[in-house]
Amino acid sequence: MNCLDYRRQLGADPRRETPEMQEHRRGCAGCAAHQARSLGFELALKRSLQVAVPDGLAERILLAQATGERGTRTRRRRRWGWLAAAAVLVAALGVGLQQLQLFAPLARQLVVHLQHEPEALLTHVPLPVAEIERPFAQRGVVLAAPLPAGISYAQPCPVGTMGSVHMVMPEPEGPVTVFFLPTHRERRGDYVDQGMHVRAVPMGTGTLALVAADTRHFDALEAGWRYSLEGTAATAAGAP
Amino acid sequence: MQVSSRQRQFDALVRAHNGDLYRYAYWLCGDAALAQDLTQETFLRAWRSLDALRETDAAKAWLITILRREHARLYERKSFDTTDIGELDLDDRDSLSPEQLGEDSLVRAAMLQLEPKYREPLLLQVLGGFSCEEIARELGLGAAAVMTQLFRARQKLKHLLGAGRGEASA
Repeated sequence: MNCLDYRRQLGADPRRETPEMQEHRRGCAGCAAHQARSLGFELALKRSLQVAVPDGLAERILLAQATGERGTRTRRRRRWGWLAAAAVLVAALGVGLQQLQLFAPLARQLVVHLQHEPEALLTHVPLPVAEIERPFAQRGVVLAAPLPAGISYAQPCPVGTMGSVHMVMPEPEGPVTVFFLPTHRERRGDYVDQGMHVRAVPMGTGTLALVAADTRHFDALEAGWRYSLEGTAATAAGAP
Repeated sequence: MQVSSRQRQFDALVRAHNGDLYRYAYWLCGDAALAQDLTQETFLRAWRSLDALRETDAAKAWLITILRREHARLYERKSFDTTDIGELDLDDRDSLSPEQLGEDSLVRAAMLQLEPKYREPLLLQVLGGFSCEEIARELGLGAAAVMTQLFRARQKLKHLLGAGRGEASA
C-alpha cells in the first residue's frame, strides 16, 4: 500500500483502518500525521452534527402514535358498527321478505296479497270498462278483445316482486279474484293454499291467476280471459 | 390497561432512536421544525409496518430508510428555505470552548453547503455509524462509488472550511 492508497481509504472512512493500512501508517510518519489530523477533523465533524434533540420529542411521537391508534380503533369500531347495522338490516329485510312472501310460490303470494287487501271483496257493483282498462294500460298490456263482464274491482297491485292487475269478479258462489301478471311466466297449475284454490295459466305475455274458495267457474273464466288477452276463444286446458 | 408487546417494542424503538433520527433528519433538511415532523412521520410509518422489522440490529437502518423516503416525498411536494445558521442548537454547548464553538459553527455552515449527494453518505457514516457497504445498500450504489463520494465529501468540506476560516479571519 502506498501513501495515496492509504489516504484515499482513510478519507473514505477514517474510523476503520484495515491491517494493511495500519502496517503502512506505522512505517510512514507523513501518513501517521495525516491520520491524526483526520481523526481530529472527524471528532469536530461528529461534534458539530450533534444538534440538540427537542425536549419531549419521544413523548410527542408516542402521543401521536397512541392518538392515531385510538382513532384507528374508533374507526374500526365504527366500521364494525356499520357492518353490524348492515347485518341487522339484512336480517330484518330477510324476515320482512319472508313475511311478505316475496319469493314464496306464486299461489302463496297471491293468497297473502288477498289477505292484505280484503276491501277488494266488499263491492259487487261492476266497474265502468274504462276503470278496468286503466290498470291494464298502466301495466303496458294491450287487450286483444273486450273484457269479461262483471268486474267489480281493478287495481294495479304489486304481488311480491311482480306487477299485476288485481281484479275481482263476483259470482253467485262467491267472488273470484283474478290476477294478471303481465311480465311473469308461470307454468300451468292448480294449487290449494290456506283453503283457497289457485289456478295459474300462462296467458298473453304473462300469467293469469284465478283465486277463489270454489273452482267451479275457473274453466269458464279462463276461457273468457284468454279471449280478452289473446283474442282467441280456445277452450281451457282440462275443461270439459 | 395492558400494553401489547407490539406497543412495548415501538416505545423502545422511539426512545432508542428518536435522537439519531431527528439529527439525521435535521441535517437532511436543515430545518428544526421540519426535522421533527419528519422524525414523527417516520416513526408513525414504522408503527404501521412494525411487523416487517425482524431484527433489532436492523432497526436503525430500517428507520433511516423510512426517513429518507419521507424526506424524498417532502421534496417532491415543496422546496425549503435555507437554514439560518444562527438557529442551530447543539448539545452541551456549555462544555465547549469558544474555539470549539467557533469551529463547530464553521463545520455546520460548510455541511449545509455540501451537495446532498455528498452530504447524505457522510451523515450515514458519521451520525448513523454505518459502514461503506451498508451505506451502499441504503443508497443503492456500489461500495466503490460510496467510498469515492465519502472521500470527496470530506475533501469538499475541508475546502469549504478553509474558505470559511479565511473569511472569518479576514
